[in-house]
Amino acid sequence: MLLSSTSTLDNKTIIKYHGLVHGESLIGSNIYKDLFSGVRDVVAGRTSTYEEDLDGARNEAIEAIEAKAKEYGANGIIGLKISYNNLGGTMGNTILVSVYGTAVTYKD
Amino acid sequence: MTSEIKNKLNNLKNKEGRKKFLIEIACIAFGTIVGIATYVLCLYTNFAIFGWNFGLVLSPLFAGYAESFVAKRYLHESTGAVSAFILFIITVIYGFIIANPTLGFNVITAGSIVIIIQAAFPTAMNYFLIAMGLGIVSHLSGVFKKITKFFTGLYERIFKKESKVKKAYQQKQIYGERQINHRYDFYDMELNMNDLGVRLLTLEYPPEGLKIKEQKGIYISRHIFSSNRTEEIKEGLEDQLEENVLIGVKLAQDKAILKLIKELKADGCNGIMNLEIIFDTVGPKKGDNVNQVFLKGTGVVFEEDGI
Repeated sequence: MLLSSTSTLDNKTIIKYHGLVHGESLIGSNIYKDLFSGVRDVVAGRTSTYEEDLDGARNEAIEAIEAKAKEYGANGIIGLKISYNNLGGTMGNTILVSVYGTAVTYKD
Repeated sequence: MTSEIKNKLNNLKNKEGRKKFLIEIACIAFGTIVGIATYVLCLYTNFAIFGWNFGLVLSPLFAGYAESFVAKRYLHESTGAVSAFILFIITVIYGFIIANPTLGFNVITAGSIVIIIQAAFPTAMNYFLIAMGLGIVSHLSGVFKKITKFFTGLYERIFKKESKVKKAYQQKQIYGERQINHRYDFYDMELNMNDLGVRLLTLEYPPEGLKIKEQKGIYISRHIFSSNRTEEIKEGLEDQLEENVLIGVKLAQDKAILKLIKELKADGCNGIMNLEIIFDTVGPKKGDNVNQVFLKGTGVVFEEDGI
């Protein structure tokens, strides 16, 4: 699956636009996870497990849109956008990772 | 307590009592000044670790010590370390509200609060910490759980019926599942937004193979949602929190897309370009949060024979 944040694909011909695909994943809504995030950051330094959680959540959201694009028979997603949003939460740390783009079928 | 206040007020009627009262006030004022000076010094020298300033603990301690020292010297009795409490209020208001109004709640700030309160109310906090320590040990070792389980089992054996606590717990579990299933059973989770006659495209530039006949202008749509997390925590459903919030997000997003499609179709559009989906927190409630999903893009009319 080819992922691109651009609106076109160079040297490739798009033969079908399938439309919008989006995927979301969430981290930190668990009250206990939030409570210990401070300690985890201090113990593990800047490259903490919290950062790994963020990367994991992003990958999960990307996997979700790839799966949806495959359902349409697409082999690429263009105009891809990734955003991290704070939804607040009991401890103020619910992060929503939102990934969306346009599923397309292209040929070389 | 009331009799102590009455005695104090009666003492103010004679000269000796008034003199003693003024010395007490002077001792408290001295302690407060020492405390403030300590706090200012700690802030000035940035005497801190992980952003947490030691002045929050040292200033009430020094204030209380200085006050007690002068009180013992001039009154030969303690004034109750009132300045430590005054410093506690000053440091909390300055450190947590004025200097850091956006300070989040985590282990570091929770620990800071405990240490500051410990400095202001040492005896009360010691009892509290002992109780908390016993609670943690009991929770980790399961001693308390074993004791309650033993008594629950004993109750069941003696009266030959289930305890109310057990019954309530089972009811809660069933109620929880029903509530979650019921909340979303009106909605078709498999609904395909791309089959509703409007091309939803996130592309900024006109797509190759598709000709735009007309641009109709900007279209926006939003849906406001709340995740009711406090209720779920109260119901003991923490495990399902993430799943429920995600379902809530998907539901809100789909509702916003449906609103957008309805508007586009009403204006004769068969596509939208440069579609953006933005999530935001619009106003926190206690525990819960009010969020919005906001969609914007440019409505267009594509030629029907496109790919």
